[in-house]
Amino acid sequence: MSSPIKPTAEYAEKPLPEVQILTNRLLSADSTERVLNALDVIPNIRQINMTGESLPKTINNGPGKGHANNHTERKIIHVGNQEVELRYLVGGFYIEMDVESEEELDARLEEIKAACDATIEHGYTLQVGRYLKYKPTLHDYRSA
Amino acid sequence: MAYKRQFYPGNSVPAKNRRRYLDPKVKLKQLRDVSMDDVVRIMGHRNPGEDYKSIHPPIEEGKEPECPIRKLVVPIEGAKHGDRVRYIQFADSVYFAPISPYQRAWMYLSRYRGVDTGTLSGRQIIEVRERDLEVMAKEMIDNETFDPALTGIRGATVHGHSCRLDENGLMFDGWQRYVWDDEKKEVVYVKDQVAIPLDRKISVGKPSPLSDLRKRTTIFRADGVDMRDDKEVTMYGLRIHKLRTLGGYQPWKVKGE
Amino acid sequence: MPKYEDVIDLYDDNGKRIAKDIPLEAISPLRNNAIKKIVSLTKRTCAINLAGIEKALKSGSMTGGGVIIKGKEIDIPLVKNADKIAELVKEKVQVYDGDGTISQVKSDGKNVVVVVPEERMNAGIEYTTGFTSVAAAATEAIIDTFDIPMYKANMVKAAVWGRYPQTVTFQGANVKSILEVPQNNEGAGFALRNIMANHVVALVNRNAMQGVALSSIFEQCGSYEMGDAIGNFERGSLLSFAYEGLNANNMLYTLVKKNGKTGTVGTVIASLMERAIDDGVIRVKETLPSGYKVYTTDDLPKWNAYAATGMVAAVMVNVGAARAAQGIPGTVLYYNDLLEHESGLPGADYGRSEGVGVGMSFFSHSIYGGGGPGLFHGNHVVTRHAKGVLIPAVTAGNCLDGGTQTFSAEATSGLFREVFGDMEEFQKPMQYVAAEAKKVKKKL
Repeated sequence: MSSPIKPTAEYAEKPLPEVQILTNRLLSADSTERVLNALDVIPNIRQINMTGESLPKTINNGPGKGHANNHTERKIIHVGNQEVELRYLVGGFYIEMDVESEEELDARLEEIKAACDATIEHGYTLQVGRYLKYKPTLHDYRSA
Repeated sequence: MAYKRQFYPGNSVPAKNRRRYLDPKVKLKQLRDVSMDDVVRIMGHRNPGEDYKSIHPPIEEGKEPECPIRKLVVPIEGAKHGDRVRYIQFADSVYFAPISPYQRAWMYLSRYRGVDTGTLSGRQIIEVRERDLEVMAKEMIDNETFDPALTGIRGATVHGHSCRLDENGLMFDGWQRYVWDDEKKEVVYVKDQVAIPLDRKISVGKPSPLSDLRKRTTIFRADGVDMRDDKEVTMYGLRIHKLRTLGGYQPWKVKGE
Repeated sequence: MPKYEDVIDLYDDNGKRIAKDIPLEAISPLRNNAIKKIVSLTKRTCAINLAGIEKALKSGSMTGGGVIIKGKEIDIPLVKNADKIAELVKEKVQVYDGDGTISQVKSDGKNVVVVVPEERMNAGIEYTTGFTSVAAAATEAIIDTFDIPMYKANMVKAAVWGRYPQTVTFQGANVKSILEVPQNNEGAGFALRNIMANHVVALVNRNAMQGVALSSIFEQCGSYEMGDAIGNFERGSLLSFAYEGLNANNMLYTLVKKNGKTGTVGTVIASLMERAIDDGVIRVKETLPSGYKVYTTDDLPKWNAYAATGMVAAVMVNVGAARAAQGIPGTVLYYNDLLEHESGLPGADYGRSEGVGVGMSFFSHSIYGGGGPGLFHGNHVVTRHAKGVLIPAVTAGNCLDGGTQTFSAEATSGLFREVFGDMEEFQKPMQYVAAEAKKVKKKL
């Protein structure tokens, strides 16, 4: 039985392909800002998700519980004309592409690589695939 | 005959380093000198200069329970004074830190007496009577088993030993107990081991270059020395596994294995 | 003819020889009457806490768990009448004059110690006879002495027996036995393994060597009872018992003496290796290119006994130097691991002690929230796997604690100190067992 729900779009044999960039080092807030601003000008990017290691706002256990953490890398950065509140030391980007064809994807990939090369000092790995969920799965049907 | 300890098999660099750290006859290199007061501050159990709190009255000779073993085993200083038992905990990065938690346990029990230690994922706690702990803690922060970037002094929320390093080469710490001083190229503690801010910064010096750490580490890694490439070490693991199994089955039949 | 060729010399807690050329069998719980008597007294001895019963009856607060039964309080001077109660209990428990029944008032009437006669035990198959007969006799004695009316008599029962049979255990009972109810045992034959290390510490009055001996007796008798020391396994059990528990050939004492002043777990291992090589228990099998010598043995059970002895010595040295019991599990774990790396031979109980050390570290430190090492016994879910050899090491460490433990022997087991305090069998088991071993030797 085939699923009645179809992916919203399919390109390069994948629905809305994503570019996964994992950096070899965890990035500071400033570096994250630079990477995002370099990516921000590239066309056909639908959204960018980031992952990394969580930076708590306050000390969450032990004798210092409740103290402000004051982590220098937990702050607001500016991407384009937007403010983004960073709560992670970023180590990964998932860039969802809104492209029409393989050729277009390849062209944008080159631009992304160039942007990363210019801004990620310690290197990174890059893959194209689909990493985030794009259609309902069993999990979404379970009762609460 | 006087027996000479051999500690650990193997010919590889990590195996040799393990033997070095384990051997109490080897005096470990002192790479830095963090003052005792600063060590006390980083641990956060008492303020420098403050008296030691005690948990029981001092141990006086002749007043202990009648036990021949107590007469043979001399208590460490802190025990004599009835000190509290306090701790220091180190987290060691998987990225070629000089030592890893489990080898710390071996080292502690080979080099020190009167200690309680335990290995957890990525960290090693050592609990000792307070005044003895301070002496040991200073040694362990000062000597070659400590790297400012790859070893963390963390009492709680130790997460980071298996994370990627940050851009300055420091092991991740969500509580940022230490920061990178870009001018001096040194690591500086700004919070104590449970992340309560320190009233002044404490430098623990410059991190070692990776090339140096590769020579000093006890860690086997696929991108360093693969444990499988040290035949003696892998043979040892298989041998113990086999003998434990045979011993658990019919030990009286195990002869000359 | 002795069953085994092995012959040992037994030394006391001061390293003095007390029995020479003892055949291994002479220390077997099956042959040695001292051990049999210790086991017998363990199940036959109970304490009635008269002060506790008096308080419970007066306040209505009984059976534990904060329960207070109002309106049926009974105010009777039990402690004052301790002599009378003790006499009545004896009358009820005794089978015939001179059958070994004891009923003795302690600490000005606060407690009565009762030893139930063998005859009573022999007429049943469960060791709970000790507890049940004393509890029932005490209940009856109180009801009779003070003419308690029928509708209040149940309060006396609850104050003496506790909440049982609503609970599986005798919760909140004011009669105490060193043994747990059988339902609390992890498996068949675990009764003698279900004795807290702290109880043993209290019985031997913190003498570490005697504590190890008494713990070994309980654990090794447990081995027999579990079916672990039968046939080919018996010799291994007896060897461990001899060397680890009874200081055979003075190995344990010597190891501690050598390393007591400045030694570490590491130096204990060196001393043990030296001894094992000198005694011909282990030998070099091959030397590897790095110079590492792989050791082997033709007598693995004997090596196991040596490893177990080293384990106790390591605890005595490391935990003893700290005078802090919390280091026991860690010492057990890393001692065995270091020994395995040193020798290429398995650690105590063929690796199982090391495994137990891991779990016990977790369970006895505050991350898990549980109690200290003094509360451990061989019946615990993390300790049950290393049979015979592990708990003596735990007892050794607890004996040497200088007062760091919340759950100290004084806090958890003070009553048992009072109950068993003047029984030579429990205070000096090493001498007691050795004296009997000499007698058995003559018979073999």
